[in-house]
Amino acid sequence: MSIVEVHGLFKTFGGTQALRGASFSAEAGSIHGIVGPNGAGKSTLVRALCGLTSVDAGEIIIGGVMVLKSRDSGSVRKDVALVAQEVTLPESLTVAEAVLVGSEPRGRGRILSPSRMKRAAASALEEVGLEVSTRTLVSRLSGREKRLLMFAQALHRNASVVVVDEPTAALDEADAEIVLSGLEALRRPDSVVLFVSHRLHEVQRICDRVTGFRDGRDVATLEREMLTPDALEELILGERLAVLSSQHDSAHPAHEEDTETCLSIRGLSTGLLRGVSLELRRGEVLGVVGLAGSGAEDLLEVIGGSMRPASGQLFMRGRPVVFRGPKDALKAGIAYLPADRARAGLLDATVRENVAMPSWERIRRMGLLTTGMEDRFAREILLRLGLEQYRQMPLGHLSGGNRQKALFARAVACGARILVLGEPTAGVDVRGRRDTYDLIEQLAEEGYSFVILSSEAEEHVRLCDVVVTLVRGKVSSVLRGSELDIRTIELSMVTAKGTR
Amino acid sequence: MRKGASNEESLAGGYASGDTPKMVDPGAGEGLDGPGTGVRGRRSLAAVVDRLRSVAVFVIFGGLVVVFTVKAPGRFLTVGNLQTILENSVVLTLAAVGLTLVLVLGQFDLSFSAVIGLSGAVAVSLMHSYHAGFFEAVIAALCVGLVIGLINGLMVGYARVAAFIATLAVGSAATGVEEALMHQNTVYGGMAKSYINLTQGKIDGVAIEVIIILAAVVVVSLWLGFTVSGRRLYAVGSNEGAARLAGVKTRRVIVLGFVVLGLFGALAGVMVTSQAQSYYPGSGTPFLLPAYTAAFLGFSAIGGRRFHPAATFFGVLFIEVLSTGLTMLNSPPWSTDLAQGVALGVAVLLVRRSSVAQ
Repeated sequence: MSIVEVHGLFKTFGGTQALRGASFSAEAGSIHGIVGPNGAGKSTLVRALCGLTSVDAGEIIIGGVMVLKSRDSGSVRKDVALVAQEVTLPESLTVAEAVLVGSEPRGRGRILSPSRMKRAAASALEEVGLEVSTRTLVSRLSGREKRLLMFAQALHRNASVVVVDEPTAALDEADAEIVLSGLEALRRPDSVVLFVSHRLHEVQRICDRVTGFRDGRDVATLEREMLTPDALEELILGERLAVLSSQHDSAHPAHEEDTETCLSIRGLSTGLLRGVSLELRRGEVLGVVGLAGSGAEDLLEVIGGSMRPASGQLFMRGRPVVFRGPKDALKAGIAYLPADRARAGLLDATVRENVAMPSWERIRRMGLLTTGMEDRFAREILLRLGLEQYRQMPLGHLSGGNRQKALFARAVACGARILVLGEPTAGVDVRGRRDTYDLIEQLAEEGYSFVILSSEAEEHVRLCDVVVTLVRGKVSSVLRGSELDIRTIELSMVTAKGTR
Repeated sequence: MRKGASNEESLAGGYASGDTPKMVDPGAGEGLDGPGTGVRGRRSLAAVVDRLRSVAVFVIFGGLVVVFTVKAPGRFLTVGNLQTILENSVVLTLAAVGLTLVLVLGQFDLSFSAVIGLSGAVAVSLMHSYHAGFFEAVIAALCVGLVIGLINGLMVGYARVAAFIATLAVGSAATGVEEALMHQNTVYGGMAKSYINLTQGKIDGVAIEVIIILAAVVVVSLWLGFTVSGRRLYAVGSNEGAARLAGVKTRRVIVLGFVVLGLFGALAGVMVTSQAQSYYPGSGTPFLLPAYTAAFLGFSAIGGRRFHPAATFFGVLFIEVLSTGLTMLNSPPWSTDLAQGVALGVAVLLVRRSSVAQ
């Protein structure tokens, strides 16, 4: 019996169509895999199922009941339990309290019953295989234990649909195994587990059926006996809409091998990275690929001076450098534009101020700084990038593409030679993307180097000379020149060495 | 799945599609370099309403002045009364302008009233018991403010304690030290003549204390608007993470803001004791909440987008005009607090409405 049925969901955000007719159904008592490349609409589908986002058209039927198709309540629907990719737990509560939060068992007269609470929590913990005292504080648990605790929460809620989104992303091999065993405990005869994952071997191991999504719709559903690695790869990577890739494939000028190395990284380790070494040459565009938890964002944060590594060393032109903060990195000529747009620029300050800010100390005269000085400083670079007319406008009023350009202008104006970009085109429309790509290529021609973290393989193919894939904190592959195509890059993420 | 996919919706909403900016008006911008004049050049009815709202606090202020002038003819609108209002606003101005710096940083301070009390106590007792001169007394008071501001700044900027709690703790401790020093006694006599002259003296008929506060407002305004360190206060307050990535050492900026507030609190403590020609217990407490009222009134008056020392000074004048006028009309004592509360509530609501409308 189908416990969840989704028919023809459509959803548009701004200009992008996240869902265009996605449908699937899942049986009670099964673990149902949901796979697909980045931007396939998986996360929107999950949010719609949970009632976290409204849809433009289509219907969702859970347990035979049609649930309101355009609900957007901001909280998860009662009959759906979401185990989100990020750890979202009340850190200051005990394990027992955390399991029960939101659906506490009550005794007579709706008064909380401590004994019932303890029993309910203990049984949920036992089922998922988490062996800790119910009185342990959540903040004391390891990443693996927290993940299992989230499973116990979902179990206790007794929902008919449990959505588990990338549960093993931040875990190493051994911990991932344990978490997968815990996940199997969520299988119940009267409910379904929807397992969203990029890790094909995990999907293959525990799922009864798998539905693949691409470009906002479902492609096919595979039964258990059809789940082979090749079939899954085909399901994810098969034929797809090529929007940006076709026109610029293999447009990479081969950089001579003897250009100087401007940044090298040796044995870098952080909370997530485990001994990463890289080299960046002058004028080179280096792409970084990695799923959440791979440490790819840590790598950018360290290069940008925002995070101090646990061990390892950065060298610039052969000399060791230590960044105590982004200011040191800027001084050394590295500007960091993070994927987290909230940190990228001052939205309520004008473009002129944003561009001039890192250089304030340089442009002031006799201790004084006027808008005129800023204006003279910012005008030239803004003219060059065609943003001159936006000088006096708050950065927040610009479109995504122009905002990104303004931040490039800032980096160039303050003398940076290496630009570290996190998801440079997230939230940027097609024209803005093209402009951003052109600008990156132009600057690379002039000798600027780039480190670009992107979750879109097309972007790497379009821009990068080298693409480094990180899996669980280690470099799993380095692709260059002719090896750079969308399929190879996406494959490098999902089927890394040792995980297949 | 894209990282941060949960933000997809807000990203798509926040970044308008197409390269056309949402508002094609170069005058619409307000920078970090001053209060700005709000929205210029838009012609719609909504804009007109918006504009009325943005000056509403000034209109109310003008209305008050007219009412008081009419109701108290020959007494309210006089040079003498204007001077009295300015002299009454000395301590509050110093406290509120200092507080403005911390509000610009997006932080909070509950300890400056304790700084006023402790620094005044230190200055007076040094002169009273140890025959200290004017300079020693003032410098000692400023040191008190410096140390307390530094502790606040380090706790908030480096130790990342919530400003509300950190400054509550520091302020409480400072009050404890004050009580240990002074045993709740009023102390008078033995004060240096120049110390008393700070508030009693005049230059060409203008009180020295009024010159001091006007200078303080001008200097702090210029500092915030036209120096790198001042502009960084706004940058950090606007978005600390982004300011850090733009090369600002944000923790130092936070310490700086709290230290300067400490110094202003100390100066206010000197003024309080100079005006009273004595130290008395609890001298700083009455300025804590009115300083916030003044800062938020000023904030609302200039459009509710940023704090500015000159706007805060306007807020102080608003409060003083209100209380002086009501006193002249023989209104009951409670009417002042009530009127201040209503004025602040209305001002903040007006600003809320106009920002919601955008």
